[in-house]
Amino acid sequence: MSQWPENWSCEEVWEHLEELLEGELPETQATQIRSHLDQCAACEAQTRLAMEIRGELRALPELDAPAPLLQAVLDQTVKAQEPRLSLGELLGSWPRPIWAALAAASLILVLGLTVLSQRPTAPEQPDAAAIAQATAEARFALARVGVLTREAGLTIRDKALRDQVAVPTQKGLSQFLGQVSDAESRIPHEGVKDV
Amino acid sequence: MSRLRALPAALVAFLLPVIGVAQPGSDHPGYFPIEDLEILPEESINLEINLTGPMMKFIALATDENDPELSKMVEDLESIRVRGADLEGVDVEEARSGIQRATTKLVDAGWSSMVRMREDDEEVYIYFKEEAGQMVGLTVLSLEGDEAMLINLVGKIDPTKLSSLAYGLDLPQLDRTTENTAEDD
Repeated sequence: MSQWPENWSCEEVWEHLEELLEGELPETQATQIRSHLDQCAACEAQTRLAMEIRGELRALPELDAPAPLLQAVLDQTVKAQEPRLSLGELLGSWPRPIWAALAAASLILVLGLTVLSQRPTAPEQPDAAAIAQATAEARFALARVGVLTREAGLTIRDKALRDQVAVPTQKGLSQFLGQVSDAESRIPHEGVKDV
Repeated sequence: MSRLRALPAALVAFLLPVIGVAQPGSDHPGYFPIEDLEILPEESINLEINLTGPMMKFIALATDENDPELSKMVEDLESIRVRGADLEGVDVEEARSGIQRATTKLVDAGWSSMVRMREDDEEVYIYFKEEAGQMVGLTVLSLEGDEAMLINLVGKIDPTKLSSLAYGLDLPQLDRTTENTAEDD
């Protein structure tokens, strides 16, 4: 950094906060920023938050990731995204220490997940009793589906038979018998001899 | 510096798919969340079956010699989930309404109706999910008297084997029902 502001704005303080915390700022500028922090509650709170995040991140255990894996993750993340900074630029107005902390936490998470996912994940063999129990449950569930399917099929068949065959037949017979009965009632009884 | 700023965005993009696979199996087209339907009151549930992933393979292996039909069926499935309930003392009408809501959800999610049967105090709804001409999921919602059962089978299912399962699998719990249906023949 060759040019330093004379009157530090909040944005400029945030821009150089990480360097301040890392002890990388020249003493003059560090003193100026500290003076700003003494007078600005927002920047002071921001600095305290950044220090807390740094402290918590440093307390995390280090992952012993193989060098090729680390390189592969970096290749797929940092290098692949390098030409496309639109989202980073869009959110670039955020305080840098927070982004740095998020980046570090995300990197640790990614490495952890990657390392874990590369472990052999052979399923643990359940004991014979558990398999027997599971087999009985599978039998029950599948049989239940079979029974319900069959029962429902039979009920639908019976209903169709009743609605489409039995009921129309009954109605037809009733009508026919009714007509016969009417015809009989119209026959004159005078000429009929009782047997 | 710009590299450092781009890193979070890149890592978030990298992490999203990892977080998205938190519930294995639930993204299968044949999956239907019978646990989240709020049809059966929690206290009435007396049967829960959750068979997924590796256990399905173990069942298929265990029954390979003695029951190849069951073995083959289980081998093609990814999960079997059942919720059963005794509805004695429970508002059955509320359960019926819940089942109606569930059938609407099924249709909205692209499931097809195989059986819709309502007779007296009995209701059975069977829906299936098809993908590329293959049945990949089956959901059964049934109410019989005071008993309710929700079943979701996920995976490849041969519909021609469904009915034969009722007789092929010898289960004491099913004797009464199978005898009744046999009499109907």
